[in-house]
Amino acid sequence: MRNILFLFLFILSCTLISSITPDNSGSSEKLTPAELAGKKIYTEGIGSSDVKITANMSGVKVPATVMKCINCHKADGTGNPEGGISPSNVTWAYLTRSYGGKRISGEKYPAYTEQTLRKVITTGIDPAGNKLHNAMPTYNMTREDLNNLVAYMKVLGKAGDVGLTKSTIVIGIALNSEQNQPNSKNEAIKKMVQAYCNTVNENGGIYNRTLKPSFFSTSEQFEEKKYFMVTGFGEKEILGENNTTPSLFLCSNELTGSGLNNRNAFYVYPSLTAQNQALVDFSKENELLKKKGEVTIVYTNDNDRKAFAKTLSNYYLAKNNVLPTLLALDSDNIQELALTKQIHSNSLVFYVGSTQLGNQFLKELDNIGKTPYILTSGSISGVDLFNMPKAFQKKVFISYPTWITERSSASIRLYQSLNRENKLLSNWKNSQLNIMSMLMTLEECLKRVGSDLTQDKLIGSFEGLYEFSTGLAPPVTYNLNKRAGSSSVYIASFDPIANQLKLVSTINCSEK
Amino acid sequence: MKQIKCITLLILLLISQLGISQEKKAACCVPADDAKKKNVSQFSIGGMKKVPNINLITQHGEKVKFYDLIEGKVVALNFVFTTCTTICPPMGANFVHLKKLMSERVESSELVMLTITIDPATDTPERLAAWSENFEPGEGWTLLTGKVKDINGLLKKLEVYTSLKDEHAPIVLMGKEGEDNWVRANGLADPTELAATLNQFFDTPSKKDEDNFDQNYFTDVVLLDQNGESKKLYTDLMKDKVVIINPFFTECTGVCPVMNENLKRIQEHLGTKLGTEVNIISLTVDYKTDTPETLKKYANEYGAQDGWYFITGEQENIETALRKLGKNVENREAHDSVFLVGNLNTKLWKKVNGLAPIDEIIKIIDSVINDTVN
Ligand code: HEC
Repeated sequence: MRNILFLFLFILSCTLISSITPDNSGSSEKLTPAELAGKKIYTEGIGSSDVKITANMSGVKVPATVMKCINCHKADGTGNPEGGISPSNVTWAYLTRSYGGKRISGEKYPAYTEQTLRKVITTGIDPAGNKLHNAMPTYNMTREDLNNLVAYMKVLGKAGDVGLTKSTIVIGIALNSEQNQPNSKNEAIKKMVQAYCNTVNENGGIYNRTLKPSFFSTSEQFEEKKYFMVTGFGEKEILGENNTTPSLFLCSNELTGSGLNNRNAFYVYPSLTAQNQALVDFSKENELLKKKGEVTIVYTNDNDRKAFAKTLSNYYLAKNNVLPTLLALDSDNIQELALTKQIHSNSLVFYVGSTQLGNQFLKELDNIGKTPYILTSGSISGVDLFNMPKAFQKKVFISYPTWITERSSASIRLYQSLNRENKLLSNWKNSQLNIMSMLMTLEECLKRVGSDLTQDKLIGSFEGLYEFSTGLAPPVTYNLNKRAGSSSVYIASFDPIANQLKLVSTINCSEK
Repeated sequence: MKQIKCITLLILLLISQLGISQEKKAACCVPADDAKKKNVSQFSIGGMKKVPNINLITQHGEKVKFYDLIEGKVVALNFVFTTCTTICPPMGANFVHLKKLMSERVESSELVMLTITIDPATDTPERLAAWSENFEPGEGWTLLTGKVKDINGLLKKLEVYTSLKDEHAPIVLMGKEGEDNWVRANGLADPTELAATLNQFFDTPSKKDEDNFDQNYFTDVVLLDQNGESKKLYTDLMKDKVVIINPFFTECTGVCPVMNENLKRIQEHLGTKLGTEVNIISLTVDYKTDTPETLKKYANEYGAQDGWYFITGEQENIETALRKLGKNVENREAHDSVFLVGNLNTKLWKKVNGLAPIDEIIKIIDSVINDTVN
């Protein structure tokens, strides 16, 4: 029996892995290029030509991105009444009812055709020649855009959301890289995802839908947009800035701010920027620096870290009214930097760079008898606490987005049983726990929506999560203004007696 | 105030019954007829002073107080929430457009443009800022959030509170702090209409706008005087002047000679003011008979000087002029005997019975000539 199950899982995993290539069976619709282009106009107000689409209302002309159809007519075309204004049902079936329709004023109009639909969008005149209520803007767009829009409106509301059928939900799993060797990290993540989804599916799925994971690692694969939602690793590189698929990732680089400009993106942890900035708050709270001044930010000169160093410096300035000195570190100038006057035993150094260079730098400082406070974020930088000079043992602080105490024994047992039954590659345990935690959160949100599932409702369901804990990561809370689920940053230092990390402080960080 | 005065003129023109003089100057609010036409209704909250001076936060995170923001100002105030998708984006776009139309007043800080969120729990300053950026607003638009309790209290006082956010209507309130004649208008209406309404709240109308309004109303329809010269109705006959306007036709033997005798006396009274400060404009209601030559003879009979114009023109043009001045008639005999006296600088208009004793008429004319802007 067990063998059969393994065989089954094996076959299943083969099909799952092969589902990286475009696979349509999981999604209920496959839009033609014209329909896809039309959808972009309907949902985002963006056309495919260089000529920007404009909306006109009461003599005011604005980019259609401000007044996209979806704002008023909803994703399914049924209309979103608000403030005494009732946008029509604009699904094709409704517009083309053989007996036509009636305006609020009582005027009748015949069924729409493609031609009269184009006309009403650009002129606000219905098939009977009635002028529509002025709350319906008139649009200026190229003929091609208009054709695409009409093509999309003919399938609008018919097909439901991408990646969703009555029996399946396709979840895109983003992987950082394409490496697929046995025992690789990707392999470990895939196994974890499959094991988890299988468990859910074996228990009846989510309102009779099975979870169907589909792995991808390039933006081209993502562009196929066949996923109902996405989770995984390496968001920005793969999804791009303007992703419109609901997504859950570990953390964003930049501050997440409010959800107004990126409604679809949710994160588990504080952004990397916030994790960095928490160090500034920590140093201030604990008055690490007795007098003003003497603050440096030492960074290694790659693009990301340079940007982090810069924002960190601005943040420090805003908080303390002191502008830190920025110093770029590389393997050739370690000695030179160590000699810098601003760096001395009573000064503060924020370190944004690799672990290896970090430890070399500390060694160099130790050589010349300097022991400044070193503050660094474990997610983007590091210092190997177990191999650093003894003199620094009380002077190095590292920020982390989670802490061992956030893991519950029940959840760890669940992981272990999955591991036992599925021979997960547990040498990538941390990544596996992260993806497992995200899947648990997704599962919860899907369940909360119920059977009448849409992407919009899924986002709403995320926005309703309050202190939800998977037992694998800090509890998450989302709302309209909160996209980073946890706001806690854990500051740790080295405990020489126990020879391990110890938690020094928890900082509640801000994403603004 | 200029539109108001012109509206007053329109009302005067509409009133058929007349006493010896009817006067209405600078009404405080948009009259009801006009309100319907313009999607506005009058609204009084007993002076903005009675409104709670609540603490608010701007989209830039500055702490402000409501009353401090509006004290002594003309105010345009609307209500949105950033998760509202149907009506709020158009309202935002309209408001920014209105701000552009009113840019001079905004820059001079005479006008403040405020938006208050009706969902302060969600709409943080950052959120309001991000939302407003959609409309490329530039300077001069303040979006406000605050404590739920405070804002609800304010909304109730302003009579715009709805317990369900989604029922919130696209309302914009306009008025001047300290005055009692606030106006509630449809925030989705054409911003030029809203601008016209707003303009009436300023004490010192900007001259340029005002002229444009009159010019747009009266138009520069081209007419002919008794010398056969073309005259543009607004620019050549009315602009910057006090005007005395009456309808007549040369073959009229009833009231016209009486009116003309009176006008002759008025001409004497005006002396050098005629043609420089004051124009008398006699409009024919019989363009067919009354050619410039006929009018020339008629003018000479009454010794008309420069500044007393006898006006005719092509059918369409003279009819437009008569209509604009409320003197259009089905047949020539039906014309009235009312002098319309107007001061184009102060926008004061009065009606005088042209057959009344001359002293009474002159008294009223002088009051119009001597009118000053406040
Ligand atoms: C600001 C809100 C708003 C936006 C944005 C908007 N509409 Fe409308 N639309 C309306 C309203 C309100 C009506 C109903 C007008 C009426 O009943 O007179 C309407 C009516 C229509 C109708 C006419 C159906 C009928 O009842 O005859 C069509 C078609 C339509 N919209 C398509 C679109 C498309 C396509 C877009 C985007 C390009 C769009 N609308 C954007 C508000 C909006």
